[in-house]
Parts: sequence; C-alpha cells; structure tokens
Amino acid sequence: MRATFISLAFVFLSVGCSTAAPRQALNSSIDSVKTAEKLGAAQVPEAAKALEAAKHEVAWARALLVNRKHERARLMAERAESDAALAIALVRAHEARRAAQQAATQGAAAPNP
Amino acid sequence: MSQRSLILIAALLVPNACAKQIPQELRVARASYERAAADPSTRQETPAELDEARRSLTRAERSYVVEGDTPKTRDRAYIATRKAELAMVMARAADQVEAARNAELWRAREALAAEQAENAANASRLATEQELRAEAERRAAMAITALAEIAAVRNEARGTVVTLSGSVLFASGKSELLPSATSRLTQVAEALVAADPGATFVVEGYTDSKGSAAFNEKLSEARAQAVRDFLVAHGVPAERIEARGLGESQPVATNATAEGRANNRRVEIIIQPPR
Repeated sequence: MRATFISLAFVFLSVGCSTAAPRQALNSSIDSVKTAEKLGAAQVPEAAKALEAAKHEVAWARALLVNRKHERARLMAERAESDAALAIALVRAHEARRAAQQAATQGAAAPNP
Repeated sequence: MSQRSLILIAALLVPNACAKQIPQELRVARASYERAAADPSTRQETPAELDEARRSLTRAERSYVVEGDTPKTRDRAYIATRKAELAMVMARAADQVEAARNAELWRAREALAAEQAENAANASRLATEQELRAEAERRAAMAITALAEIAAVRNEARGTVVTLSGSVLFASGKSELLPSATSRLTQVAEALVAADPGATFVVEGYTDSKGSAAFNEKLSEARAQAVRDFLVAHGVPAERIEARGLGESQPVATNATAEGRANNRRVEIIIQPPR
C-alpha cells in the first residue's frame, strides 16, 4: 500500500512538471501568425481562413493560460501554430501558382520566330 | 499493484474506449493523412512533412486509445489534419514552382532556337550577297574588258573613264547620234548594265575650241544628253546616270592641230564605284 502511494505521488509530480505554462509554444505560434499576416495571408481566401483560425486559437490559448489550464493551452498553441503554418504555405502556393500561370501566359504570348 | 487491481483498471478502460464513437476530428485526420500519403507529389516533394503528419496522427490515435474522445484527443487530431494538409499544400507549391521554372526554361530554349535560326538565315543571306557581289564584280570586270576593245579605258580617282571619240558619234556641229554610233554605244550600254548594281555613271561631253565657248558648251551638253538618252533607252537605269556638258574646257590635246582638236571632241563616261 505504501509503495502504491509513493508511485501515485511520483505520477502527480511528473504531471505537474509536464504541464508547465507553455509560454514558448504560445510565443512561437504568435510569431507564426505575424509571419502569415506579413506575407499577406489575409488577402488569399484559403489562407485567410487558416489565419483567422490561428488567431482565434492564440486568443483561446491565452485564456487557457490565464486559467492555468496549461496542458490544453499548449495543445491550443500547437493548433494555432499548425494553422499559421498552413496559412503561410497557402500564401506561398498561391504565389507559386500565379507565377506558373504568368510564365505559361508569357510563353504563349511570346512572338513566334 | 495487485493482479486484481490491473483487471479492474482494464475492465474500466476497454469498454470505455470501445463504447464511444470515434470523434469526427480523428476521422478527418485519418482521411487527410490517407489522402496525403496516397498523393505521389506529396510523397516525392514533402516526405518530411508527410512523416510529421504521420507522427501527429499517431499521437492522436494514442490519445484516443488512452483517453477516449476528449478535448486533448480532438486537439491532437485537429493538429494531425493540419499537418497532412500542410504537406499537400507545400507539395503543390513545389509543383507550381517547378512548372514555372520549366516554362521559363522552355521559353529560353525557344528564344535560343529562334536566335540560332536568325543567325543561320543571316549567314545564308550574307553568303548569297557575297556570291552575287562576286558575280557582279566579275561581270563588271568583263564589261570593262569588252569596253576596252571599242574605246579608251583608264582608271582615275573618280572612277573608270571610258572615252569615245566625238567624230565617231556625231557629225560636225551636230548633237544627233550617227547611225554608226549605235553599235558602239549599244556595247557600252551592255557594259554599264552589267556593271556593279551600286555603280553610278556620268556622261561628260567635250568640244574643241573652235566656235564660241557658249555654243560649245551648249553643244557638248546636248551631245552628252543624247548619249545618256541612248544608254537609258538601252537598259541603263535613268536614276543612275547623269549628263553634263563641259564645252571646250579640259582639253586633252592641243587645239592648234586637227588631230589635237579631234581628240578634244569627245564623250567621256565615268563609271563611279558604289560609295
């Protein structure tokens, strides 16, 4: 019985350590959101949706942090990070698609020698 | 922990996991990963991102097995979905970048081919021009050689000068060509037509010093014009030939003797090379 109590105490301590305030994860997601905004994600419809989701999740993560729900806050920050990363990728894909179309159009419009 | 305790925990966990319906987020995550994994472009262009998506899905699955349908499981599933989407979007972007690069390369290749074709055409044109030029020069040289048989030919700074005796072409004091001049002038016309296409011609009429200078100038001009008209009528382009009368100026011999005066009565045709 004593051994069981010691084990349980160890488990509780471990859980306490792993649920430290996820400040780094939150800051990282905030940086990613800023990057997405800077790249013009708001102007690309698909990316704008992901950016909005990321912003919403950052706000949610902040609220969870205030309420000391660190584990959920960390997951929310990770969600924000993944949405912001997707927004950035969508902006780049949009730009790449436009460049490819432009290149194809220029090729078609080039005078026939 | 006793065996009885373990059995009790398992009895509590297993029905809990099986009884609950799989959360929608996890279904979506599985479908997204399957789609990404089945996409050849994603497998080829973004293998690291695809692997990250797989790990995220594994975390979500583990969370579901351990905890069931909890916010944590749903968050992990949501993240796994986004990772799979990210891998596919990045692969698409890589494809587009490659497409743009290929279009650029293709355009550059076409431009190079066009330039090479133009260079080849220019070289061919140049070779043809050189051939034509050589042929024209050869014909001109032959024409001059032919002229030398019927008239005096000399080279001066102003060009090749062909001198025809006035007495062969005109009666005394007249500017109408004699019938006997026709044959000789026809040969001259043929030579001029065969000359370099860029060459120009000047017909100059001269007299001796008998008579007034004004009369002589008018006569020489009329004679030069008569020769020019004949040559134009026989194929020499009008825009390439002009006539001028210089009267008794520039004698080539003395006017004191009959022979000298005969030499001074003359028509000179100057063949000017292209400028």
